Amino acid sequence: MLKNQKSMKKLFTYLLCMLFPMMVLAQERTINGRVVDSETNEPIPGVNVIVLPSYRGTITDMDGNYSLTNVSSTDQLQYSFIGFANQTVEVGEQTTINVILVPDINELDEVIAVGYGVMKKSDLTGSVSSVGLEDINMTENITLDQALEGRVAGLNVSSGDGTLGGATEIFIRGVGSINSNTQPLFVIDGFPIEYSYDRERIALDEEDPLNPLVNINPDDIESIEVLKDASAAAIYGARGANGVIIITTKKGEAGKTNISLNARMGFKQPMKRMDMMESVDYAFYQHEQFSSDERWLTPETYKDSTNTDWQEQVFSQGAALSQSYDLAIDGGSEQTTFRTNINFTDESGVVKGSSLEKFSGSFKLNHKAGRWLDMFTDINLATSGNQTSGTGGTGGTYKGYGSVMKALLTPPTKDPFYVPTDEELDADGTDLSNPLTSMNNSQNIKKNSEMRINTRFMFKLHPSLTLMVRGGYRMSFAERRQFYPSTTSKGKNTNGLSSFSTNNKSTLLGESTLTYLNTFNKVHNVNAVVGLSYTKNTDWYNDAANSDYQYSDLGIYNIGVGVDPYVPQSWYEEPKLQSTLGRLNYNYDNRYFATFAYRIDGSNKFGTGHKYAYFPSGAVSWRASEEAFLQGAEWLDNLKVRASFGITGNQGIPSLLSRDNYGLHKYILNGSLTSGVALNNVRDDNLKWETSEMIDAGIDFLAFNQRLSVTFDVYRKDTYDLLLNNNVASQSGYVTDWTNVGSMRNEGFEIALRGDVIKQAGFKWTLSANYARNENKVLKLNGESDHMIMDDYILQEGQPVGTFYGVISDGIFHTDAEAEAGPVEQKYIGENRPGYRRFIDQDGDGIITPDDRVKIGKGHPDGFGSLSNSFKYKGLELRMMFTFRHGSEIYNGTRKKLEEMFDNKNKNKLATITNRWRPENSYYFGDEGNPTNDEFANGVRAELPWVRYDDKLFQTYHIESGDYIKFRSVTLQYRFPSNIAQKIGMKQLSVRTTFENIYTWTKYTGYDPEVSMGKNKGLMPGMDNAGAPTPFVYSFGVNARF
Amino acid sequence: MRKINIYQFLIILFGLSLLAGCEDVIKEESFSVLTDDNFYENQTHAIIAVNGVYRAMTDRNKDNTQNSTYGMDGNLLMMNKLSDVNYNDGAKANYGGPIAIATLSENDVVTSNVWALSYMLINRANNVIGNLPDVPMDSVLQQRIVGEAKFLRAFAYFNLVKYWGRVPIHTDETRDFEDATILKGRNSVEEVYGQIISDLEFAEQSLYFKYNSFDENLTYWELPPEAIGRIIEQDEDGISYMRKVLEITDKGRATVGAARSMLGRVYLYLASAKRYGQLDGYEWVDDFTAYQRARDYCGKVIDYGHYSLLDNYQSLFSTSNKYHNESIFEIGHDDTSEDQGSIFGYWHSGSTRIAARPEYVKLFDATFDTDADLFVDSLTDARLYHSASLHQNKDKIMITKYGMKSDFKFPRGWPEHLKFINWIGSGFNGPVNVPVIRYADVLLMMAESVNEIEGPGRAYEYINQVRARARRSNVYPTNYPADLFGLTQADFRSQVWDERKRELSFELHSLSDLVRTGTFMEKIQATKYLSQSQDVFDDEKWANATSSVLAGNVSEYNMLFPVPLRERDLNPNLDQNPGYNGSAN
Repeated sequence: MLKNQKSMKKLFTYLLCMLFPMMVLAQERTINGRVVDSETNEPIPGVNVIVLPSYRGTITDMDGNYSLTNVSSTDQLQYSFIGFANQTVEVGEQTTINVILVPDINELDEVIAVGYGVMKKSDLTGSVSSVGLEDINMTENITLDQALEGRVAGLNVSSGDGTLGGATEIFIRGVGSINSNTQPLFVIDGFPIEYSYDRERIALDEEDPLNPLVNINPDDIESIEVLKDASAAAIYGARGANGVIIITTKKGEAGKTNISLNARMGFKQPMKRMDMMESVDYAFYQHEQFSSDERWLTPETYKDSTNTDWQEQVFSQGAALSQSYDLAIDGGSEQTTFRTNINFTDESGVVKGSSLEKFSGSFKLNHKAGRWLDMFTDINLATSGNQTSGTGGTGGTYKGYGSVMKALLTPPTKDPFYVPTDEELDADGTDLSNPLTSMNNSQNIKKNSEMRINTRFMFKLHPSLTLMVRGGYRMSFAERRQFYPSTTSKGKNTNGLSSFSTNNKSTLLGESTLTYLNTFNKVHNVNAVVGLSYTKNTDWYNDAANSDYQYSDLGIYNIGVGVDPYVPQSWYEEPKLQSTLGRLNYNYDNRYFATFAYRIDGSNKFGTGHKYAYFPSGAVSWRASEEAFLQGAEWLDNLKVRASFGITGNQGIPSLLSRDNYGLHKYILNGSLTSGVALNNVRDDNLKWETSEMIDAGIDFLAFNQRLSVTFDVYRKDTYDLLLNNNVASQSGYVTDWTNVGSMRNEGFEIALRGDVIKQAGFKWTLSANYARNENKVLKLNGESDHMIMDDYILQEGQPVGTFYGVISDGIFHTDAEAEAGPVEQKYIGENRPGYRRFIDQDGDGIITPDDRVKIGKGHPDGFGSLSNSFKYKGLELRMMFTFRHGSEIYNGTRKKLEEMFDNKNKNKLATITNRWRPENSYYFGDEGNPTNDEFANGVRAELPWVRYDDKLFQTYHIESGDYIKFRSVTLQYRFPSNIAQKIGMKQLSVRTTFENIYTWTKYTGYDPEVSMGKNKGLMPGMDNAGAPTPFVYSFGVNARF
Repeated sequence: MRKINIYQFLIILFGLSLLAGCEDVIKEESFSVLTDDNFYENQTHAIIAVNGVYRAMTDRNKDNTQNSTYGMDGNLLMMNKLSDVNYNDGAKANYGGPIAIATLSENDVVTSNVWALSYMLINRANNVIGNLPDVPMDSVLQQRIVGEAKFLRAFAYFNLVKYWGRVPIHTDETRDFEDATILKGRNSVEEVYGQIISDLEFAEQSLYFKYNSFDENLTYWELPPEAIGRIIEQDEDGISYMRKVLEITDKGRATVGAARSMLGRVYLYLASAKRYGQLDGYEWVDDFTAYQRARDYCGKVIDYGHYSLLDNYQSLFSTSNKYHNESIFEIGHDDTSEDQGSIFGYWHSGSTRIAARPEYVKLFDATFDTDADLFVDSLTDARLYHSASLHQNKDKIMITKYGMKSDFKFPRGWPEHLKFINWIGSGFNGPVNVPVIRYADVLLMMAESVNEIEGPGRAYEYINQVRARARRSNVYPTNYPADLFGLTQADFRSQVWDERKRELSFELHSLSDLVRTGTFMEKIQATKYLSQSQDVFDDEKWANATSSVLAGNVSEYNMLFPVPLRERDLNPNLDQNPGYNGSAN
């Protein structure tokens, strides 16, 4: 926190400095000196040096040096810097005054961004969590979500399918919507960015889309604030219901020019591998299933035959290299500061051929034009691209196969270099083609470029009145290019297939706010802001696809080679938002605080009469520690109780639902396509906002000279008017219609602790932990039915979202008598037999039908949190972090596919299937290590059904506990003493080594329990379909400042 | 602080004005789709709107159906698997398995989706019918377009009433989703037919003349006078008809001939359902008059002289011969759009494709070469081997339209075309059009109604035209099938019903013909099971064959499908058909 605080304080100092008039007086004497930190002996830049009693002054430069002219010997010099105790020195006859400042860190004075303004942490009335640089540095972050993971109580990062730069989803205090957007709003230096996936045309449903925030450079982040409760988030009104994440980026510092380099290099390898059958076991299995098939060799032959480890084949040999360089230059004068940086990141994935390349550059300029104008501008350009090799498992459809799943399924008896036959390519999915063939021959590239300009003018109209005018423009250009030649299964049927799509989005932002800041009678503190905001988005989508490639040499680079093009498509829309906002913070004597905030949002997506919505909120807090009766308690630094209530909204529905909407429906006349249209959506004038009401109560506790800090919050969030694509009677001509129905509740608590366990000279052990518990419940869906079944999930009143719905497995039938007695699966009526699965027959009709489905698990956790330790001894620092989660289940689709045997005779299976039911005297050799035939007689020990059983039901056998504790990261960092650093021409130098994803304690048998695939992780969490495994990462980094 | 100077003031003013100029922000503009703002403004809009109604028959919009991925779910051809000629082993609910063995439940996916897709078509038609009167355009074209929409709406209601009996009638476009609007109860069968007939009668007077009744190469002035311009003609009943001819590019639109044929079909259904069928709800029908109407409408189509039987049966189902002279109405398909899963869509290859029962083979009472792998070698009716092929060692006889790969392991001597087979398509698309009304059907309807009205005498002429064409289509010159003569009225009746199966099987008539002729239980309960399809040639094995699964399962109530559970869940005003879960008895 230290560094972060200092930087923030510097910023604040600058802001304060400009309030003081700097007049030139008659010359008397010049004083020089240097200010250093008593702990580190490092110079402190930005220290305020004021000449008393005249109150003119200066600040120290980057080397801590200052110079003051015209000082008289009777003057006093006062040195102040936030985070350090003030010092006053009599000038006397000295001409050089060097000062050592003693830290006086008061985290209550920390200034944090709260949206349309900053506030002292002690003044907060809402629930806001800060993530500082020190937290961000726990892991080596490629994308923003990695910086957030485990850092904030109540913020859950749901990771994706392992695609590099792929989409993860962030849930703050649970899932707050059914069909609407569930992601928080991101605000970068005041510029709001909504989390939305790019539209793209993809030939295969195999990869997650690129993370919409991939272009935010984690090295550029100074601090992150997470606004969790309604009182904090309500200032963002219609976009605040899922919480708001405010990102403050690093700014330039006055003084000598700094050059900072942060370089890292790392290696990764899969954290875990599946234990698959080897050739011999595979042969036994094949023979048992199809003993008469002449294609199989005898098992004996397999002993000497090929035994390919396909995981080894598709994972990068050795270790995948990644590297990242961030070079930043900042500096400037008191009037003008700048910061510019470039960042280059190149990552290889654990799956061969997968990679992520990022480049970003920014230029930031702060300029103070006299006393009345302060301007800031940030120009940011970033581009990211990833190349995937079908790494994404199955991308949520869990029907196709990603390359990892393919590798697991490909028989070990196949040679890595085998060329798939036409039949294999054709029947991909039932038969398998060589996974390497498609990985090596197909091209799948996603690129996302972004430009952001964010300019802000602050006019100081009066010492207590500031006008802020912001203009911003953000443009993002996303493209996906794919090519599958005829040698791959995807391209075979069409003799090559390519697709190309672009999604070009822009946001134009105009905002102005008026801030009033004043204190009356020394006890009435007022901080008020009112403002107007206007956002216009554009969203352009285009695609093209072609097939029939008579030669494939040019791939994605010339899709015109194909001779059988598909019909291209395009789409354009313009969502707009117009808002009025305001907030009043009042506190009495720093003891009683109250905040009222409101926002009125108008969105063009909604029906006539519901375009505008009003989002008020209020909060009160009481700093008990400032009361007279607690003044005696020296050990108590802060005790604050808070309570808030507010309303926020959600507008994340598709465009054009409030209009009649005639979509393309072409018909074939005279043998060729002819234009046709039909009504896809009926105008709905009543469509309105999704509204959340949140109550939050919390306690902030800080004691023992700030060595112990505890924050505790309880909350309840009720969301009404859920926007739902509701089922309607199809005699209307439609099967669904978007309406506001239903409500949902999230309630829970969060606790965050931080303590300096040991704080002695030179040594400091800091322990921090957070934990959050959230209970989600659907209160109401709609009038007709209390539940909705969505694939293998049920959404039911009284139940949480993400509830798995299926039948309960009850072992297998071992004897004819058992099988006879049933219950029997619908498709096996009259054919039930030993070796088939038994399920619980809920309705007692003797037949297992969809009616026997019950709730069989839930994908969202009950609770989750993290535990971090940091040990500091002089320049040496050791940081480690554990994360954990409990109370969730995972549908292990990977294991299901790798254990189902029917119709999959050409696919390899998990080694566990040797524990399958076998008929007496089945074809099996009693190889060493394998159970004997006798042991399997009548399948006494078998847990898995026999080879001919078609395991198609969604059932409990594949549901596993998702509880885990993960040793997420450990970093060892050494910061060279400044005198050594200076000898080699540096101001600062530190080296570090980081290990990530070191070990996971879990019963989960898949690659990683921290998994959720598919594009709707909120509604359909906990689905594992063999994405790229989480890598173990080893990296080495250098941070230098010149 | 000093005072703010004028420049500062201007800057501040500028900042505020940034926001002031955005008054119209909340208006949602549409760019990529047509909306109520800009739709139904001109003639082009009217045309593309009605095209969208046609498209409802082939739209495989996942959003419009439940559980619909790829496959046949929601296809009318799947509904007809419940018959004495279609075979399916009962697997795969979305391929009509439960329908084929009469185990379907009220949440059967195919029937649920056909219900939903039919109403999707009806709503689109209602949209056109309701909006067209306000469109400024050529009044004759306007009337034609309304006629097309009404023809299609009638067609959808006819399917609904045949398969479900009483159904709710919606004749206004859905503008809101209030209970009063969308939760209507079921209308009587009589009311539904009233709607169908009035729509078809409107269509008959509004539609254009047949599109390709003349040589495509004829220039305008070479056309017969009746086809030129906006000619209104009156027939002997004094009813006016549009005589304007459709453009070549309009091939596929409903025509006067299509409307008349459909009227003939509706009246024949009513008459025979009253006289022979066992369905409730047809008591009001005057069967004699209905037979006469059926005869009259079919007669008009025949007398028109612009339709004729093609010389060769096998050229009927071809990718290269669409909109031919025998075709009266067909559903357009090509290889560019994936339309399986729609009510007239394709289905892709797989183990549960459309197959025939041995009873279908038995209809062709000719001698078979017992060793024949394929019927093409046998001395029989061409229609058999153009429709079906034996699948050795399997229990089914393949009727495959789509998805055949060139390397498909076929028995020797495969025919050039099987009915519906797509030899050249790939992926999920098939370019063979689906025939809805063929001239052969009209001839057989004519024969049937004439026989009912006055006995077989004048009816032979029509049925024998159909049989003669089949005879001409044979690879080897044979006498099969021979002309019919000297039958009693009853024998002729059963012959014409069998002839319909021989000629029209797998073309959406199988189930409705069984139901309206009252032979549903009799014929289905007589079906047998053969583990090897070639055993159909073995008299002994055939005699000893066990009853089919379908025969064992079928009940009289299966003549109607269950009202989908989904709809009954959403609409308490819908009662269930007898025999299914949730029905009164």
